[in-house]
Amino acid sequence: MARVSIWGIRSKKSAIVGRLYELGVFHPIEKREEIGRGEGTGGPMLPGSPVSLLERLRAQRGRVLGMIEALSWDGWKQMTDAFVENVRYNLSGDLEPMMDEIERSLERIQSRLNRIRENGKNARGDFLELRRANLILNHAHAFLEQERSARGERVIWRLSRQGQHAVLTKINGDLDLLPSGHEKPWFRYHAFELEDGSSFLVTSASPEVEPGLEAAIRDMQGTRWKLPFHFEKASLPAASSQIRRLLHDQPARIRESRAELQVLSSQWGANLGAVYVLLNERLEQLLMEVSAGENEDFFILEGWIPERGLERTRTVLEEDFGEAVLLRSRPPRADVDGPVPTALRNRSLLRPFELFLKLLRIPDYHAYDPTPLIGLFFPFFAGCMVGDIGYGILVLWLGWHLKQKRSEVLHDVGVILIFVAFWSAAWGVMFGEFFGDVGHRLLHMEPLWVDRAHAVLPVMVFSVITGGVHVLLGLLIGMIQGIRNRHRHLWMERAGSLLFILSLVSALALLRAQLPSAFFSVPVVLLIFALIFLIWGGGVGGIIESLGAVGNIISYVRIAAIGLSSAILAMVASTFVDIFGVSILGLFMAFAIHLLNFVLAIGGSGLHSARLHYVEFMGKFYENGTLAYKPFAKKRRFE
Amino acid sequence: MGDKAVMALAAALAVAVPALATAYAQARIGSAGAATVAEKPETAGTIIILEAIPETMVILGFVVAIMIIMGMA
Repeated sequence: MARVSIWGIRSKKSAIVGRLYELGVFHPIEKREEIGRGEGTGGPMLPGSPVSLLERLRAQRGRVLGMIEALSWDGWKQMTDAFVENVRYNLSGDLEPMMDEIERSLERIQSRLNRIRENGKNARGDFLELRRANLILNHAHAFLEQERSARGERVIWRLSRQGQHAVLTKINGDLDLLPSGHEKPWFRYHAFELEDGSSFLVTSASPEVEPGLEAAIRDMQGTRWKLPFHFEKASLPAASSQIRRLLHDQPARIRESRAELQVLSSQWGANLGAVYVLLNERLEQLLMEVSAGENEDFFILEGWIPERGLERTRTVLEEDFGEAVLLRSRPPRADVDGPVPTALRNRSLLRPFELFLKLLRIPDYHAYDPTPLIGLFFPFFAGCMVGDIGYGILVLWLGWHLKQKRSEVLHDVGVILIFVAFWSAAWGVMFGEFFGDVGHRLLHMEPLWVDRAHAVLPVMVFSVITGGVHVLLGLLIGMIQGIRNRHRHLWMERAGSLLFILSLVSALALLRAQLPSAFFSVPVVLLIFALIFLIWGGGVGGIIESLGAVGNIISYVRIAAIGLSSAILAMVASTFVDIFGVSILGLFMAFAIHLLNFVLAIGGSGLHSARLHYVEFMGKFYENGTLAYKPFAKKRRFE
Repeated sequence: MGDKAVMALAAALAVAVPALATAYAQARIGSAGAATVAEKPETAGTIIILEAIPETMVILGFVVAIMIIMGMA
């Protein structure tokens, strides 16, 4: 990474920043200092000033996004770079005219959108109101029909249950007090309640009773229910049939409004999406311009550029702007520069394995990037745990399927699974497994190395040896890193642990080979040096650390353990066919167990293999960084 | 009880006791870790590491069990 300062003539600032944005390698240092005189970022918000443009741009971007959401447009997956560039081509190149042009278009779309939304809102509102009125009239229908020929007015009241009780008691009491005769006043009612809890009272009374009834209902906070819209003057029975007819037409009105919105969305959604992308990019450029230090004549941008992109950046800037720009660079200096951004740089084949580092903080700039070694060991360990040709084929299918996905994470997972599939099949050949013992039963497959379901020890020993190599590699990297970064305690502790393990390994090897005791001077010498380094580097803690490294190596036995459980479960699946015969039940049980085993194999092997890397391997050298390389570049990932 | 039965029981216990201990530890770490990740998603890697650490107990128990079983044979 190179520390760079880009000096340029102020009048060319926008163009230079735009070019840097296209090159996409410059990582700016976020500092807002003014150099010399000039308004810089703290300048007033005058019309046309960068700060006022920034605010306007932000507001316009927000408006476009709001409109995209109002149109319910979600065609980002179909968006292409070519389409965005086509929209850019049709817009003005300068920022302010471009924003004016967009503003005018937005106004036009907004007026259409408002009309459609208003129509839709009205249609939905009408529908709800009519549906409720229809419901109330349906409840009252039988009573109204019964009272069709009666004198007086039929009224629907909205009244609480308690209110109904009080009103009915009062009116019936009043009627009872009147003397009986030929023209005795009368009162009939029907009460009902809707699902939402609102209660209603439909009344039919002789004209003498009506004033008293209305007063009693109003005393109980009851209100007269009114028919919606222009039915207000119609009678209840007459309105009922008209409301039903109108209600029938409402869904078509709503559909029509939705269809109109759909048409508007298909006409303008993609364009608005492209405009949003362009505005976002212009906003990022403007933010960079505003953050640049400047005086009356020139501006300065400070940041980082990876060495591999430095010369190209210099050449492009010189070709495009000649002497109007000057790029100065130097290597990073720990005493003045502060944290240096870390950029992971791996070959395309290994890049998906950077996923493992995304779960951690990015490695320090001066630390080792373990991605290539993860790419080598992760599929090897995971494949050893799966260890089945059949499962390997399924993992390959799954990985291939995920690799086609547009999501970056899923694509990376897909590539990793393809690597795991290769090693799963390779270990399947070594263990002679094809869906457990199905290969042996049907194809007479024999293991190339060992049948792990019956011979556990060789696989366990192999796991521990592999773990030893892996942990020693981690310690070696930690030691080299410590020497390079001049961390004395670190490298001495790692060297001590390394020598301690080597002394143990050599002692075991000598015991196994039954060599004469003179040869034991080798592990003893190694142990003495190990103790010197450990105590010098980390004191008593160093010795404990080295014992922890031995525990770490034993932890690799999990490769054999998980592999063993996977192999036995696969055999159990075949046993069901033995028990139930080649029947539907037998085959179903075998399929279910294999499916379970496959899921466990994928999940378990991935998780445990990742753990071996995170804890046992990377714990020996990995140093967290504080700053990830984030280039000033387009963020779009369209095709 | 025969020697083999005692050894088989010992092998079973060698795996079962650390498995229970690991389950307990992972449950406690897992619940705390889930809450941590909900508040700070960038700690996911660290939490996975912490969650995975107690597993070593079972692995060591498995090694001991295998050694006992091989002693039986």
